[in-house]
Amino acid sequence: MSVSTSPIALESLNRAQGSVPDAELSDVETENPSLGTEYARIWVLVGKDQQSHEGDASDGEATLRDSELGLPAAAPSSDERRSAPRLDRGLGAGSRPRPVILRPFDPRPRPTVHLLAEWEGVVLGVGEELFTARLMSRTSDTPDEEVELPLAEVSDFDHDLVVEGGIFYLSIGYRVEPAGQRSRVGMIRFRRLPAWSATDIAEAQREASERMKALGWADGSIEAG
Amino acid sequence: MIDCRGQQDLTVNQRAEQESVRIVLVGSFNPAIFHPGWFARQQLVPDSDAERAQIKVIARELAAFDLGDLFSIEVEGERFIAASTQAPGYLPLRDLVVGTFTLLRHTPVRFVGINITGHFRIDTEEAWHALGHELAPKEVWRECLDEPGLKSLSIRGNRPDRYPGAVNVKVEPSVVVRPGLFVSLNDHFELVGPQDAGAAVALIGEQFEPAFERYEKVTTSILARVKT
Repeated sequence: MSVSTSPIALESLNRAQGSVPDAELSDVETENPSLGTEYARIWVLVGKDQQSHEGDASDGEATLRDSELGLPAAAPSSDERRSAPRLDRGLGAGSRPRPVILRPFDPRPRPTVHLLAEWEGVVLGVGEELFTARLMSRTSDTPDEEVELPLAEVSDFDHDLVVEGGIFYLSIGYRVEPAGQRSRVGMIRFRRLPAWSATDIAEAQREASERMKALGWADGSIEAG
Repeated sequence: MIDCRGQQDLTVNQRAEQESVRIVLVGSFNPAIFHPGWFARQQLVPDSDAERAQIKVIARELAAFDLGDLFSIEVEGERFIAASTQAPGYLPLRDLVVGTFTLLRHTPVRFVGINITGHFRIDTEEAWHALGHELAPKEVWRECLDEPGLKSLSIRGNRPDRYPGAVNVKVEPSVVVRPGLFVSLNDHFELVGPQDAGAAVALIGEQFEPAFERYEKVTTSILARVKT
């Protein structure tokens, strides 16, 4: 059997199993996928041609029809039976569709960082203990400011990135533990983008040259930087 | 050093108690190549993030793991999802996705979603129900249902820019904050022309911050209707 995976929302599974009652607003447990992938995402192995995705492709959520979970559903018409995907196809006659849960994610609450302020910075110069940067606030309309920051504030793994022109994000906020304890935190994280390879540069130069030729600008030759 | 004394606490009132940002690419992916070590080798994350990665699944059909404290990655054959639930991770998340698909720029990508969700506390249960009634008036439902309540409301709007796609908003009672509201914004883009990762990278670079502005606008508009 060709097997692929499809994430399903926990609510879909629960609803299909009848464990989530239809109730008034204050009693309803709904699927909120907002805790990222830790919350309510499990995988069920299904036959590749039986997947049925609903909703918008890019919302990151996919649901399966109840029948694909092997659960009782209203009896389909004969036309529906002919056209409906069947999970037991390829499993052998008489096989009962059975979801295989790989690994549910840990739904325990985790600490969260609430932002008080955030800046995007660019390194202007690097000294022995300090580096100079221009900061642009992302959380207020205050004008850009030039500051000196201690290199000691930069994580070891980012030290190589503290060079003139380096981009970083400076965040100040507080960390809230699941139990409610709060502590003030600051974080500097440098931007990481893949380095241009010689092939990338050659390809960009070739493309630029072709465009210049197409525009009738000179002979399209460009100088390597 | 930056003096942040006197900075207003942005988490008070209308700030979400929990948020997440997910960048979703729909196309054709090879989950098996996505591994914490790959991200570190490409210098997209520090080695320490890869060393501390929590691998949930890595298989031919599916890869799912956390990278450091900031990111989680899920890749299936047709879907790539990078997510962060920590506000300081949102911009690095954008950079991570842009960096990844700058390297994998020939990957076919058909749709892109920039998805932001938040759980907002509502002060009282009365105000919470009133907000539900305002967003989804119950007159029509009371004729056929007993005590109808808002369970999930989805609204789709046209894109305000030149891209094909839609802006989808979902509102639900929060299961995290009680009484509270869950708001989800799906900024959905359909790629036209060459459906490769290069176009997706350009789009994410351009539209990531506007998506946040739309999210702020939506949540501000909804929460302004909370009666105190």
